[in-house]
Amino acid sequence: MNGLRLLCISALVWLQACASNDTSLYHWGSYQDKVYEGFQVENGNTSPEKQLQELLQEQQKAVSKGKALPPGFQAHMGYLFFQTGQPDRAVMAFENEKKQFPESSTYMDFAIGKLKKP
Amino acid sequence: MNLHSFTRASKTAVWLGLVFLVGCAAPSKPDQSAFRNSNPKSILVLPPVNQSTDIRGSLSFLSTVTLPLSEAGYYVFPVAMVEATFKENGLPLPDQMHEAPLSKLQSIFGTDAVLYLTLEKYGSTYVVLDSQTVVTAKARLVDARTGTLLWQGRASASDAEGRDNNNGLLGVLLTSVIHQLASNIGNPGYRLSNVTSARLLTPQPGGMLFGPRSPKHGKD
Repeated sequence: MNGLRLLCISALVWLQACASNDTSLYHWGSYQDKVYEGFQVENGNTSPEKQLQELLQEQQKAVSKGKALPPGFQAHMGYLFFQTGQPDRAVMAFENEKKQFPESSTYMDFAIGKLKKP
Repeated sequence: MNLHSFTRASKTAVWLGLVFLVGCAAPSKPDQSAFRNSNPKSILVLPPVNQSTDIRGSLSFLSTVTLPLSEAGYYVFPVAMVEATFKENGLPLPDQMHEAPLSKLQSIFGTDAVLYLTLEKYGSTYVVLDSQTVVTAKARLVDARTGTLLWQGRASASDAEGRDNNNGLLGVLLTSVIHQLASNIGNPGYRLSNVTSARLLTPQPGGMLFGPRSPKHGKD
């Protein structure tokens, strides 16, 4: 019985360790939730302005925690800047995505090219 | 805790331990040489083809795939912006996007691999006195240059998993895992999509491999 009790406790400790040990590569915060809400825009739920505001806050949190922003985060911000009529800030965000993730270069150049077309 | 329920909890703990060990042992490994040789750095996720009855399912599920793939060590293209790019280029439906030639995808996105998702189930079924929400999806990862299939998998999550085992340790485990992964957004389909995505796309023996941005890359 004691052995079983020990097993129960060690299982719980193991679970606890999984839960508290933050080995994630990136700061996620509410990023995916905002992307989800953004898809609902057509239903009138969340404006790009509000999304942008909340993502700027997540960006601050990432900086203060010393964690990297996830793939696509800065590109998504660029896309929101574009939607809210701020093409210059959009280009800057796309450039930042490229800097952080060179894997995105082809696509970011494609997006910047579209913005710079008269 | 009375003796009876303690014994039951103990049994559950033993069982859980065994499942864990069996999971670690992974007796037969499928051939992953194509995946290893391709060694993709980036993954373009296309909006899922939706076979469920809920038209919101596709984009809801799409919102949840970036986290597990990124944490696995891959670059994942921004899913909402990608979806908009397809629409702007005259391909508004996931079925059409899935038919786009790889050469075209490569020239616009410069991606190493493409992930094709199919949403098989998304939403609630009502049974007597109760309802159950299920999200089931399957995935095919393809090399963007050669079209070679690198990996395929299927996963499911249901909100009945925790409920049915409410008193056991397993129930507590599943419920807490689901709560941990799930956001506080009300839509149960979206919440469960997070769990299905994690189960589908998190690296495991014989399944998804770690990508170059993970410290575990090449060690699995």
